Amino acid sequence: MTADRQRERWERAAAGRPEGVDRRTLLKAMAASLALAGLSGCGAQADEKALPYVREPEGFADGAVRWYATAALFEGYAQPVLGKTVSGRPIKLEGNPDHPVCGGATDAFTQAALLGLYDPARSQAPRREGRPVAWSLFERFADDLAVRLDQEKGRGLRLLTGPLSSPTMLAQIAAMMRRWPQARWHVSDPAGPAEWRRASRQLFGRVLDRQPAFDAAEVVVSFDGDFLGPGPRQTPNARKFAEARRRRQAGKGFWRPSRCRRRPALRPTGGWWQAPGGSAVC
Amino acid sequence: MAQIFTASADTRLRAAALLGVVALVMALVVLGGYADSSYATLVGWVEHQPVPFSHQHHVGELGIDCRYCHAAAETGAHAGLPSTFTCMTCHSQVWTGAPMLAPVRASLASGKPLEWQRVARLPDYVYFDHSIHLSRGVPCVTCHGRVDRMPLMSRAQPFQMQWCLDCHRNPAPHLRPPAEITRMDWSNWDEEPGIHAVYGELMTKVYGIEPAKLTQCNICHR
Amino acid sequence: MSETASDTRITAEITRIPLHHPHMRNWWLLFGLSLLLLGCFFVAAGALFLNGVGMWGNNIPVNWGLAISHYVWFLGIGHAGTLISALLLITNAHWRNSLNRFAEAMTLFAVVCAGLYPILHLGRPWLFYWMAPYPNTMTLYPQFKSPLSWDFFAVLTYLTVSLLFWYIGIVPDLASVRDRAKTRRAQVLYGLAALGWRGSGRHWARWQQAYRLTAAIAVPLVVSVHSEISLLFAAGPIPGWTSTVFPAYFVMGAAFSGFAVVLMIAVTLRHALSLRDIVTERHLDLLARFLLATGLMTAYGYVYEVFDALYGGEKQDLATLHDRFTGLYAYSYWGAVIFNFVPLQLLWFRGIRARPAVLFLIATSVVVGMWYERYMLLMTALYRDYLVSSWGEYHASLWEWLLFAGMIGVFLAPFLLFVRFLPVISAFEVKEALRETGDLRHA
Repeated sequence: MTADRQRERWERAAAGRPEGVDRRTLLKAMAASLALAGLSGCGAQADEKALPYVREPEGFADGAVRWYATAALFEGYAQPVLGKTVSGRPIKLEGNPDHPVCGGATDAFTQAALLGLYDPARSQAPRREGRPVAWSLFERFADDLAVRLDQEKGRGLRLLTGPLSSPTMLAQIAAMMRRWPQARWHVSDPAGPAEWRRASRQLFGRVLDRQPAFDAAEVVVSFDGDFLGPGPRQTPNARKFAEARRRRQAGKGFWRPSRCRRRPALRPTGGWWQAPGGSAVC
Repeated sequence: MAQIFTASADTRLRAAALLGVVALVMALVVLGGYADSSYATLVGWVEHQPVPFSHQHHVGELGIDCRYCHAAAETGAHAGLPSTFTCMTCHSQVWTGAPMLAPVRASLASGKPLEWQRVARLPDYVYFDHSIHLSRGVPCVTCHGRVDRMPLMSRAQPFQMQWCLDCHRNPAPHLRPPAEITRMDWSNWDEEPGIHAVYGELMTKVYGIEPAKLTQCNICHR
Repeated sequence: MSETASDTRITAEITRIPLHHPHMRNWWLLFGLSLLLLGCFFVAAGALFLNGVGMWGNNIPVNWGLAISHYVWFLGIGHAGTLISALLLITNAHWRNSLNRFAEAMTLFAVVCAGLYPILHLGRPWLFYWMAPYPNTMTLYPQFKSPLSWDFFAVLTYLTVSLLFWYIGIVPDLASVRDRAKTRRAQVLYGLAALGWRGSGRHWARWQQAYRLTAAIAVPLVVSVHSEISLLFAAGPIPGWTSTVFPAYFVMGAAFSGFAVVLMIAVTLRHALSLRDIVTERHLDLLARFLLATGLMTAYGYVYEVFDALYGGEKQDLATLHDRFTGLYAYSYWGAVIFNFVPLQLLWFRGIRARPAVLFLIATSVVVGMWYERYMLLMTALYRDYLVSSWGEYHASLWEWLLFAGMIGVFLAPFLLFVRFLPVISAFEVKEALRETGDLRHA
């Protein structure tokens, strides 16, 4: 493909116009679907074929439920889950009860993570310039690229990922950066805890993560922080928070969470101390 | 002014009205007949399969148990079709070069599954679980017919909702000992009425089967 | 029966309309508009079939949105037709003869509109025939405990009886049109529709029997159909729907809105088709009196509802009452009260009752008010359930309004065809009235 055509393609893609479907085709398809809509009520579905295994997995029963222990990513953090599958299809995620972090609980985002597997926009194959290609092509491309990058110490290579916390992946990326020192690694994390990162760098000199131990705390003061709200630590935080409250309800220990807030957040109200002078003070 | 209508116009109008009524009744009869015909229900219609597998030979003549191939029937929602590997447990030893079995060998060699046409198929909006029916003793033959007499597989029952409900409304007469569910011929079951007449009634009590619950919508439409 | 001069004049005046319509240009303008609205109906219904009821704004807790409020509204409007035709026929009120034909046609098309709403409201509208008890391979029969199957029977019965009654009534007039038609095509078409009517003594005797009999069947429907609708409300444990006044309240409200529409149509047709000799001021006066009477009875229903809630003292009923007065949908309550009953009071004055334009405006106000009432009854009761967790709001989507516009088209288009091609007033019955009372003006 010539550079001209490539640029033309890019411009077209950048203009946001989808390729392949122009206005006329779309209108035709809409007209046809409107006209044929009445037919959808009648007529049976097309018969689908039955495809048995060539080699059946051990212990497989068609239509029976199987559970797999696995992890689902939420802002780069692995959420320990059990995946429920029927005939090889994942249909539900639950918290892994044997995992110390969640103890069988999950949050709404992890529950919904399953739908990502059935996203029609999910890529089924590697793409080159917007077209799906075979993996072998990608492998050849990657081999050629590796040779070139070795010569140029990785100049021009940009790696774009979401937030990551997997030690294996981080080690692999570190190894890559050692091999190609001039490469750049970008993390796209638009909803990440940027404020916290900045704060921790100011406080400790480097970016640190936080693991609040609500269950060990006697007093919890939150300044406009939605610590039980959405986030990768939602489940363990809620668990520890509930544990602390349960301890107080059982008459063990003094435990008093307090809040200062500007905006409403998901937190139980019972037993809370609210900053005097209205909600906009702190 | 000339007459618009002839003297017989009234008669013709009445005849036309009558004809309309007759046509309507006929249309309803034809529609109803079609819904119950084997053309619509596919009862007795043979599907074209990649391999002309004979249940008559394998079940009737060789006496292979259903569960040898349909292994998940007792434990899963679907009975399942045998993997190519299951076919080859025997056919790597017998009929190894038969041209009829070429697709099976090709499937094993290429790793691509055999593509069977489904014979006993329920719509997507029906929830059906083989395991519960088998564990309560509904024999294979009740729904799938005398497969030991089918050289090529065909649907034995219409699989209409009324047919499902016939049994769900009164399950007792259809129950058999779960240990014998793959038995094809139950013609002598009633020869010992002293024992068998009460079997179904007894088992519905033992299993706690309540027909009133079995006919609730969400039993099958979940 | 010998034809007198006035007989001939009446027949000529009425049958000239389908044969030589006086205002073709205006008719085409109106018909074009109604076809446009009908197009809206097909677009809205087609989009609904493609996408499902999710396009509409109704959801838990307000799962009956505009669709059901319009259903009740249209069905109510239909009631006046049956009331005028059947009840007044049996009670020998001869003045009805100038009004009954177009009132019946109005009933017919309003019932068609009403019947479409519950069908479109279904999740899978193309399976609506499942509501009919017929032998099927599922061995399933309709759930008679469900208001949906009541709707089915109520609307179907009403539609069948209205159609039969209207058609039986129009047959002799169709024969008159046939006899005066000039073109061959008109002669054949009207001739077929007239079913070979020759006006013989035997024809008239049979016709009288059939007409009176159908009227006798139709009379209970005046009361029963809207009672069914009100009980359909009462079948749900919803605060504000449990008052025992509901059936009477609904029937009266239905007749009220129906008389308003009949009055609107009467004024319009009288003006547009120059029927001042046939639809006289006395007719308008009588219609206005009926409107006032049914309106006051409806007002009694309003008062009783308030009394019922206060007297019963049920906490939730009181909360619903409070919501009606001051809640999110209070505008619909006050809209109903103001539009229904405030302009209505003008009808106490004889002078007002003689002015068609004012009558038309008052009737329009009543139609709007009754629309508010149907909407208010649904919304104020549904959007605040017993549990706070199931509170929610309802905002009709654009598609529902488009469907409503389309439904107006479904009503108007056939009605305009009726006005164009069929005798809008029962000529022979007017003559009959004339014979028996001696004067058309019933002096």
